[in-house]
Amino acid sequence: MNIPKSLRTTGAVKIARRYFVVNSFDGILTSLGIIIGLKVGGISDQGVVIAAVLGAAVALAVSGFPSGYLVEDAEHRRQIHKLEKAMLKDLSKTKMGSDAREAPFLVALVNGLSPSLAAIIILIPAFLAEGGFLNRALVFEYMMIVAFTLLAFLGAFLGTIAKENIPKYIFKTLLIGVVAATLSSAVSLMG
Amino acid sequence: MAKLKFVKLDVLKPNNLTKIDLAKAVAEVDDSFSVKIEVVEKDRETETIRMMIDGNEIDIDEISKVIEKAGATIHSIDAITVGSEKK
Repeated sequence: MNIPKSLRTTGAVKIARRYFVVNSFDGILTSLGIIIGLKVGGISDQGVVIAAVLGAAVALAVSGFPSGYLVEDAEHRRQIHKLEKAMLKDLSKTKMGSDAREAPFLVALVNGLSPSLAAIIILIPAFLAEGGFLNRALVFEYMMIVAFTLLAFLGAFLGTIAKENIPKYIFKTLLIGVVAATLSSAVSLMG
Repeated sequence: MAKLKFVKLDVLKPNNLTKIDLAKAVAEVDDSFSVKIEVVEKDRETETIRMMIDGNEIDIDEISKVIEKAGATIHSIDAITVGSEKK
């Protein structure tokens, strides 16, 4: 994959990677919680599921982009000011300065889009059922399968980053999914 | 006409600007350029490097612009070679 140069030169690749994993987890588990809550609550209309998960996806994006941008912009400004002091030079008009302005935007995009994208992918079975391509009765189960598949992908991604045993990471992310699903079911049943 | 064929520069650069990126940026100024970098001193945030540029005709102003744009600063020109092509 071609990583934008500004992410590489500012060292923001690692941060973007972290945000991607953490926020994808948020998106997947939030969607999973909503799906389970609706299922346990006896709501089987996928129109409601689509609306609820899409609502969460939009909220996650709206929350993730500005917060990510503000945090990263502040961090990069701090870094540039530190360098300017060491170099005794204004770096704002240099490539380094423009990279430091671009990187927070890209990291914020990752921060905002990764949970929403995960939520939208989980909704694919609901969209297909809505279009008549999937059995409506099994939509919840299909969405759960997609959610756990995404968790497995995240596990594989983490294993690749760590350059370690990928199945071990897949097991860990799936386990987190099982714990979240169990807790969501328990809480929904109590409600 | 005499042309600048070689220049040795003392450059201060931030650590997060890699030597490879800086050397490539300078080398891209002209196809004939060959750029060599040696580390002189390394600090927490910055690095002093010795940059040696070989080329058919070095425009020092252009080189200076590229280095400054990348975020580094030329401290001094420590050595040069000027030559003229015999016709």
